[in-house]
Amino acid sequence: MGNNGGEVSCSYSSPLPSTFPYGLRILVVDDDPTCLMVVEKMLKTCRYEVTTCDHPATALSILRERRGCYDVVLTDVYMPDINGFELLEIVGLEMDLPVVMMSANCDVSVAMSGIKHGACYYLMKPISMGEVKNIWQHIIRKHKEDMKDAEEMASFNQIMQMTSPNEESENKNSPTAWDPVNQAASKQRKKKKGAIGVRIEDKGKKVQSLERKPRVLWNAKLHQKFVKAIDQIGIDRAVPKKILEIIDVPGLTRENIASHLQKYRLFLRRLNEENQSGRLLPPTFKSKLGIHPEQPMVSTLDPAGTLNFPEPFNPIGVQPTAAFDMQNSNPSMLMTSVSRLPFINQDSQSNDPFATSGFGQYLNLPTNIQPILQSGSSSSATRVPLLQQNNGSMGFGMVPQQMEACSSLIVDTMPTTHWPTKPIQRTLESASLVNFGMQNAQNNNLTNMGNAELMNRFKQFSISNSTSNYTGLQVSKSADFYRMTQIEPFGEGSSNMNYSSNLVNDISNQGKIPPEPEMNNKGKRPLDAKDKGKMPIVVEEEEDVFLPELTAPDFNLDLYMNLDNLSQYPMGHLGVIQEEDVLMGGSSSSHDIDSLLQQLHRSTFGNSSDIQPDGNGTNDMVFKQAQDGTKHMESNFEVNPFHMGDNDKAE
Amino acid sequence: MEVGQLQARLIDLTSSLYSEGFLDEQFTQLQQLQDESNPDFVFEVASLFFDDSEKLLNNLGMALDEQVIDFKKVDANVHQLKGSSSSVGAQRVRNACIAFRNLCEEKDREGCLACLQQVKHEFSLVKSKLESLLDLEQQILAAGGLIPMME
Repeated sequence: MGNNGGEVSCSYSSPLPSTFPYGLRILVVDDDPTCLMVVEKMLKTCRYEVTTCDHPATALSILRERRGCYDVVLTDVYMPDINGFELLEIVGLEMDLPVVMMSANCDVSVAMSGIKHGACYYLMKPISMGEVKNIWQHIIRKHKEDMKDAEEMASFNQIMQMTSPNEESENKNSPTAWDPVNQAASKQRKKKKGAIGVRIEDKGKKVQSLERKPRVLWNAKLHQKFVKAIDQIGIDRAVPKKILEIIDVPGLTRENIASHLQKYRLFLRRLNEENQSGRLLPPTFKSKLGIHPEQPMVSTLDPAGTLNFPEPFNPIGVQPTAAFDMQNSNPSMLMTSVSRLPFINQDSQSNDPFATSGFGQYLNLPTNIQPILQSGSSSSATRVPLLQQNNGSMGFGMVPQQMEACSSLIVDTMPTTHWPTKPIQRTLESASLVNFGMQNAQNNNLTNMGNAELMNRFKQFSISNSTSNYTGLQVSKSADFYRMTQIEPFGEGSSNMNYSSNLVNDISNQGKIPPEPEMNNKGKRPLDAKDKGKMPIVVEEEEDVFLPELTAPDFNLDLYMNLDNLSQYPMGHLGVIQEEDVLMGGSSSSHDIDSLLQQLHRSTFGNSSDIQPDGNGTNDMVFKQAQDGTKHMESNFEVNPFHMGDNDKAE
Repeated sequence: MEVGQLQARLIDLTSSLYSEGFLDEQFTQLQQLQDESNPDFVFEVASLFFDDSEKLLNNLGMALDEQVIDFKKVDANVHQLKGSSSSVGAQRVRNACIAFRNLCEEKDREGCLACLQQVKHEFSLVKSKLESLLDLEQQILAAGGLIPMME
């Protein structure tokens, strides 16, 4: 035993007492007064700080009222009302405290069950002094595991915060520029970001080596179910068992849910803390895209403990992309990155508006995307355009329903808009402009190829977009943004919600917007935050970002929004872009993209030269001018719609 | 009676309690927990145990008196009794409770009733013996002596 002091601090729970293990604050719960007295005495003899409680409900209220006042909970199994296992789950999920169980029941199966439920240790009565003395060891272990988790999360967030390769990478033109692992490591080396107060070591290796056990990959859909289940049950009563029942996914175990739920709660708690403190979380967790300190764009726990899900936010915003190796067997990394990809729609039906879980940890890119994202070398395999940069520029992107995705999504790119009132949160349109690489087959006729092409062209707009986000588009200043109503002040449902970043996609969908379950008719969003307790997005005022096209003076958003009037819109009608078309060098349909892009380009850069292909990178998509003037895109690799390549020189 | 004699009696009593299985090692731990800051610890725990157990035994009696026995409730009570008796080191009571639980599982009404009697019997035995022991200790202390601890 020794003074572990701050070294065992974990950002998730209160730091252990500096005199650890002495002074360990332990809450003992047992309905047996004799045992309670004995154990209390034993603990006190070990110089722990003991609080006793004879009823689990009392224990819970004590824990809730005095958060951070306890380091560990020791609880009996068989108690009236709430048994020890349930208490264990609740404590683990809500307060993330280590729980030691005890029981007169000496069945191994019960003990096993306890451990599986997440108990740190299971003591069999009678409790001996020796066992009590060593309780601290189990606490340490739990803290260690928590720290590992924290580091994991932090590393993912780091990756999410990665700006474009141009910013930091030493190897600009190399395929590894997008390698998130190396990026993270390199970034870490350059500037130490103790994202959540945990010292992060060599992230690169660490992230990849954090393969502790086979994980369930929480893809968007799964997480969506998860979140809906929680919504149904109520966050307070959300226990893995019930969630499992509701989700009803074969192969999913209660443990999977428990750990996911735990992380989710942690995430929510952090957000709540952020809200309450009024501070902005470090970039790691804050979505600069519309995160207002008081109004996060994520699900939060309101004081009543209800989980409020913000309306999905669909800014023209950022395309959170992180290049990561899809082949990377570290699913958590994968997931975290992906979670920043709001558009990631697990199924190709763009009917699913809530593309990503946003929660962040376990989202996996849908497999149908994977091949697209491969761009040759495995290290750069999945290039998902990364979002942001400190200059506040914002690329295109969809913000996922849950905030956390947003947080690292658009870490430093905040639209400058400041919303006077609660901004509307837009639904993530699955088929959005941002869905580059999204294989939204159904309604989104822009295939990945098409998107890629678009994207590539958009890249050219990124002159002042220092994120070098592939979209290169920058959100305009507040006024403009406001005007564009990409992110609207929270009104009673601007009907334009659906539009948001679905520029091309909307158009290409020929006006058919995939139905959003939560949208009213005509894309009107039920945005009354009060009704649903949803948190509107407030976009922070940030540096200049602009969206060229949409700030065009003659831009008539209403007109634009009304998709029936699309034809009136100068951008024209994109029509259906077939993959073959693009690959094969274009057809008439590609003209539409062209014109759109040109519009955008022109409004951004004036009638500048055509988008110049980047000659150096073999990874780049190359636009060549054909004889007939139509631009075709050729690539010498499988086009990766998210691939930013090196064309984006913006800084 | 002088201290020496009291102490001798105490040692005899304690040894027999252990050897006859009335008390086990847990009780020793309780005694070791007693210190200057809490000189009556063993006495307090024992008193608590007695009171709590009597309550539980009453509950058990009532539960088994029912027309339709709620064996779950009976089992819960027995479980609790088992826990508290094991916490103080009342070994024979604890063992009786284990047997009692098995009978509950089998929903053996007659068996349960018989076992309840057994538990009650063991309980009253250990209670009186513990009371004697604690009383002896008080006497020794009052006479200015020290309580000999069991190894």
